[in-house]
Amino acid sequence: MNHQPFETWIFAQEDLNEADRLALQQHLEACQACRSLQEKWESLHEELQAPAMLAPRAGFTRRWKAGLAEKRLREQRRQAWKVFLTFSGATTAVVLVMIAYALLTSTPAEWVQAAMRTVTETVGTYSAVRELTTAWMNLTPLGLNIVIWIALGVTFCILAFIWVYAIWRTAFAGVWNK
Amino acid sequence: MNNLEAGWLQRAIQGDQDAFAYIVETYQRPVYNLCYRMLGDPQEAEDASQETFWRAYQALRRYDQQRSFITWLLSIAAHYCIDLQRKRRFPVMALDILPEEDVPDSAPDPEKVFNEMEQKGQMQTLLSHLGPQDRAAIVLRYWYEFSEEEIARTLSLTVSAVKSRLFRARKEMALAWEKHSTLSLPERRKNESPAL
Repeated sequence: MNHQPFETWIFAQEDLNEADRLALQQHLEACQACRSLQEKWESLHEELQAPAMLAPRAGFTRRWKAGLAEKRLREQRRQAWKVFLTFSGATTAVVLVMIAYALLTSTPAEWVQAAMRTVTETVGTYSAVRELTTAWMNLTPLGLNIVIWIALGVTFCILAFIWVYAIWRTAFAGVWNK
Repeated sequence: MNNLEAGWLQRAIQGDQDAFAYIVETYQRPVYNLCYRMLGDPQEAEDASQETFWRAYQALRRYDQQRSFITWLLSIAAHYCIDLQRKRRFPVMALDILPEEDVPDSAPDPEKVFNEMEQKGQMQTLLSHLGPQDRAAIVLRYWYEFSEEEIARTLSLTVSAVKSRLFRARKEMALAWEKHSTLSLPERRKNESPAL
């Protein structure tokens, strides 16, 4: 027996017009399978009108708060790792590119020569700067020297603070964008 | 949502953690109930509810305030539970809600049988016959009285897809219950008097 469209009408939960309602009634009288299905659905539907709402165990919000602190810590760690790996990856990539470039454009003998030249120049520059500083301090009054050293110290501290703060913001503070 | 709750929500959006805790306190029950109906296990439902609130907390600044908050929250929960079920592939049911072997000794009165099923958590057994999205549609329709349009928005489906899923789910539940009742009847005879 063809159960359509009667099966659809039983479960669609839409209002039927008089002709369809009559046709459904006639089919239900003749078809045991559809009648049984409709009876089951009607009693189920009745129960579904006021189904029970379940609640979690007491202390759900407290557990959520504890979980939140844990998750934020985990997220912070994950983000810190992400930043660390990004910087490390970028640095490694730059170094590798530089090595590849050096291998393609020069010989090992030239590297040694360049390294020796750099070391010699660095030592020379350091000596020159030391002599210059000593001469400058001998020529200027003591008060001015103190002011200059304080200014240099403060500038260095500010730069260090900005650097540390920028790293912290990138690594941790993005977790909860308050 | 009343004005008081709207105020708490505003504070939560601005980053007030205590205000969000109030939101958790207020909506824990509907969220937990949806997760339980979807997953069928109290511990999994607890974990899924906690995860739902964590995801909501992270996404709170992206919440569109023109939309109902509970619909948005339940949408997160429903999608999370559907994903969980798709990942695990096989339906899992807690042992305490499996059909019991003890059979009621009354006559097969459908309403009575149904009440006993619900008491034993067997409504969950009927729901477990459904696919994740069909189950979500049924739960939102009957436990939360969502319209078909609201269900469509919550589950990111079209209205016609929701209608078709509801139709299929109702039929499967009725068939499952019919099967369950049929199975119960022959077993009932073993408790009857030999004279009968």
